[in-house]
Amino acid sequence: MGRVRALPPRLRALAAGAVLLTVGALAVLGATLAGGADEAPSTAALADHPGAQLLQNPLPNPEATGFHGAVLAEPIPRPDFALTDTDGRRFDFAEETAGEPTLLYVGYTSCPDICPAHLAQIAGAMAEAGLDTDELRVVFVTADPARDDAERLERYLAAFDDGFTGLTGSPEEVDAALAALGQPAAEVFGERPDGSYEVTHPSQVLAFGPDDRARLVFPFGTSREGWVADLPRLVAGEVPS
Amino acid sequence: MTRVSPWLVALALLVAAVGCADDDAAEAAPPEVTGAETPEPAAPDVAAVYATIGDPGPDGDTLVGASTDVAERVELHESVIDDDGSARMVELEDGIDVAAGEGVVLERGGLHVMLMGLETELAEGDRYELTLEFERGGEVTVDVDVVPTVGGDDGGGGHDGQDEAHGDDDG
Ligand SMILES: [Cu+2]
Repeated sequence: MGRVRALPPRLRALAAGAVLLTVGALAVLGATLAGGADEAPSTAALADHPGAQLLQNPLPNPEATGFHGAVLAEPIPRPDFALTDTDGRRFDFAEETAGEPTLLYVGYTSCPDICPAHLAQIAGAMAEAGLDTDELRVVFVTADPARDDAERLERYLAAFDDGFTGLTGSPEEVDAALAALGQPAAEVFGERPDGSYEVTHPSQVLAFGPDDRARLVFPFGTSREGWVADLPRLVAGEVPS
Repeated sequence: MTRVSPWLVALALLVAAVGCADDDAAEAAPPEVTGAETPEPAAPDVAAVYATIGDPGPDGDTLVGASTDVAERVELHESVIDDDGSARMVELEDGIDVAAGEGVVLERGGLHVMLMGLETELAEGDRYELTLEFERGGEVTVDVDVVPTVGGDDGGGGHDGQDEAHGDDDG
């Protein structure tokens, strides 16, 4: 510090620049080693998790894959996290859903658009495909545990299908669940004077097969026909090639 | 020689004046709004409104605000999916552009009118009034139908054009 202060202003700026460059170079190197040179530092740490593929927002290619969901290059293993269900029971996701076809979605109940449209699409497609939640589990994890308590979650999910499972927990537990999925923590933004706010969350639904791997993710905007075509194949344990 | 009654002249002038007033009103008319609907909200306090706003004419228009008795607050919103796949909902403080010659569609996963602080429970089959305010066209009040939470294809506009992109091949 003292040495830098003793330098003439121009040299001081140069020295400061060199420090910044070194820090920057180390950051880039770190990100490169972690597998994602162009990722923000927070996501770089997660970049070697197969869930990081979601951050590339993979798109479906039905003509090539035969599936209407996007087929992942590397399957995502069923994540290991524990939260609380709407009956107040501890819910260990990997344990409770092991071997069962499962759709997993992270969202929040104060979202009036993407979240309900996704859940309605799933409920409608399951009804159309003749699947119930005994055959295909649907798990909704709140990204907004501060507002989404068990009661609010239960009432919300019942509007779609009372067989859907809702999970909440402490903010730390929710962040840990997202990290187990290779996802960055949810961000709160758009605070209003009345205290309401919005939350970011992954837009895709992950589809785990009976082999405990997610090979398919469904982006928002997947058509009803697409869901109806893919879900029975997921339940049957069909694996995209 | 024909005499024109002064009363007839007065009547003609009055009709002309009323006609002019009508023309002025037509020039500032709001675009046609059709198919306004709210899926029965799953949450107790928030809801979205979707609708098709028709061609506002050659000058275009902007939807700058909305109000209704059923909610404390109404905002104009857009849901966006970022390049990293994360979903976000943003308030459009400059309003929603209603393109000249086209109009605009408010639909799931995109543009919507958002109701916050619902003061009336909205159930399937209900109908309520929503007033939309356009910058040029002024205000128009429309009936909004509350439709089932789980309805037909709720996939929205298909942000990436998947599936829909192949829809034309069937013919
Ligand atoms: Cu909104």
